[in-house]
Amino acid sequence: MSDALQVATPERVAVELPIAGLGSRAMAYLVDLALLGAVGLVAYFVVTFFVPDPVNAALELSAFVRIAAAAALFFALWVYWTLLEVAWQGQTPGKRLVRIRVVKLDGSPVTVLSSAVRNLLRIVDFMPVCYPVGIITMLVDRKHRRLGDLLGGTVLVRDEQVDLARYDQVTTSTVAVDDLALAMNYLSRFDDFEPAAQLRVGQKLAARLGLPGTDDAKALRDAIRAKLETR
Amino acid sequence: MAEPLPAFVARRRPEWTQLEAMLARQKSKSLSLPELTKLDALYRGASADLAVAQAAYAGTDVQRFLNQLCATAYATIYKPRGAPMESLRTFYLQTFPRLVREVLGPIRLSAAILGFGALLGAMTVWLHPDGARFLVGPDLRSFIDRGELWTDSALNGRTPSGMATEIFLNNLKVMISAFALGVTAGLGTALVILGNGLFLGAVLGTCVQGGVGPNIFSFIAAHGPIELSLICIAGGAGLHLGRALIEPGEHSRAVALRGNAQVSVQLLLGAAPFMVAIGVVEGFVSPGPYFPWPLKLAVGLLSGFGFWRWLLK
Repeated sequence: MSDALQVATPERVAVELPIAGLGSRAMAYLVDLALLGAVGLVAYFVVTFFVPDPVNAALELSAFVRIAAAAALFFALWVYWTLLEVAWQGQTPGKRLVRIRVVKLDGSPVTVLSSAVRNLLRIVDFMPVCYPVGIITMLVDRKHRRLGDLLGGTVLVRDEQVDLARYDQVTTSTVAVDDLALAMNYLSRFDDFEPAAQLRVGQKLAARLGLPGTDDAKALRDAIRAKLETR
Repeated sequence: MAEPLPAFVARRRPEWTQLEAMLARQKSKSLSLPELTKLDALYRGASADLAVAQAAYAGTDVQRFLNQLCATAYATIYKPRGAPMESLRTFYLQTFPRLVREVLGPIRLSAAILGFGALLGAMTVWLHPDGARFLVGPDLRSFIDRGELWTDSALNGRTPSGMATEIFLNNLKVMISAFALGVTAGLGTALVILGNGLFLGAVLGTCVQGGVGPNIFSFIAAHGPIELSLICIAGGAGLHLGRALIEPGEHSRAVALRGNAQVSVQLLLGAAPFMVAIGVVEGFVSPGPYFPWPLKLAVGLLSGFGFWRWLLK
């Protein structure tokens, strides 16, 4: 977690948000692009189903309808990003799939204005083709922000999914961490101890671990080792 | 002093699971007040657990899990209260005019660049007719040579507003690129505005030269004043953005850029609805001889006067 956004919460705990890199961002973008393309394709076929020649038909519509339609189309692309990012707490379908989200620099959810800035600046990042400006900015910036993010005050962070299911199997009858450290220390230094010390420390340790005490140092050592290995 | 990790997980995990479930339900806003109080307590508990994990179990998956849990809960609980969604009424009565007045310097500059470009375009047509061919395409020229205006013609397969839609879209593109190119320290904005002015001047010049001067002035009379104002405002927004790089003031350039971007984007978004409205005027009122030119001129002057009076009151 070398690249992470440090957020100081009012609870006085530092939360670390791992920053999303170029790869996952490109992936999310491609997914969104495919989605928009698919919607456009379906829309085109639906329209041609009713209207044989959409281009000429569009030219015969009234001025108001056409300007409204043109404006709607023009904003649709921009609205797709901004509206979804605000409504889905910084995610678009692509970002959701790749599990990244847009947040503001303080870790709070992205606001309308910030999202508007970063998505309007998309055309500069895209210039002249395929985001060279955005990619160079991301490579230079330590937080992997493109120009739109720099101006909007936003960062893309990764959502981590950690499954704690593997702790289900663990029983609670385990050795306490401090005792574990003591016992391992004892086992590793066993051969260096004086025989008297081997017995004395071994007996104390056995008592802590709840093992029956004996007078045989070697037996104690084996019992302690067996106890550690049954964890 | 620290208990073994599995015991820690076993003891605390029920509360984490509960918090996760509550956060999922909070998205649909279906939590009651006692539940919200509970959510708060659970979040604080998880925060304390995260602190413990950072101290005793650093680098484990439990720490990462708690980190993610607290990040999600933090974003949910400390969400800024609807501040950006200020009501439209306040925005247009107060915020937008205030922002325009704040950024009046760059807006004036962008108006000057537009005017300079138009002058240059008209002079080019006047003094170097050959050079003007680069500025005004053969499409427009063919109309003008026939002694009519493209907007008057219903014969070429386009309705009278066919061109108007294109002009409208072009203006929209000009506005957005004028804003966004502000990040090039305003140079890109200046170029876009200058180019737009150049085109405008060249078209007007060519029309006057071709003998359809009255027609073109009658065409732009109704929507021209506001449309040009909007382009100047968008240009001003871009230049304001660029000013953050040239003259960041007491902030670092990055911080100044971020602050100015918030102002500029509001200018652009605020101007967008006017652009649509003026597009309708351009489509209905402006083309052809359906409305007498004095009426168009009156509409244009009054709307322009009213627009700036509202902004600068």
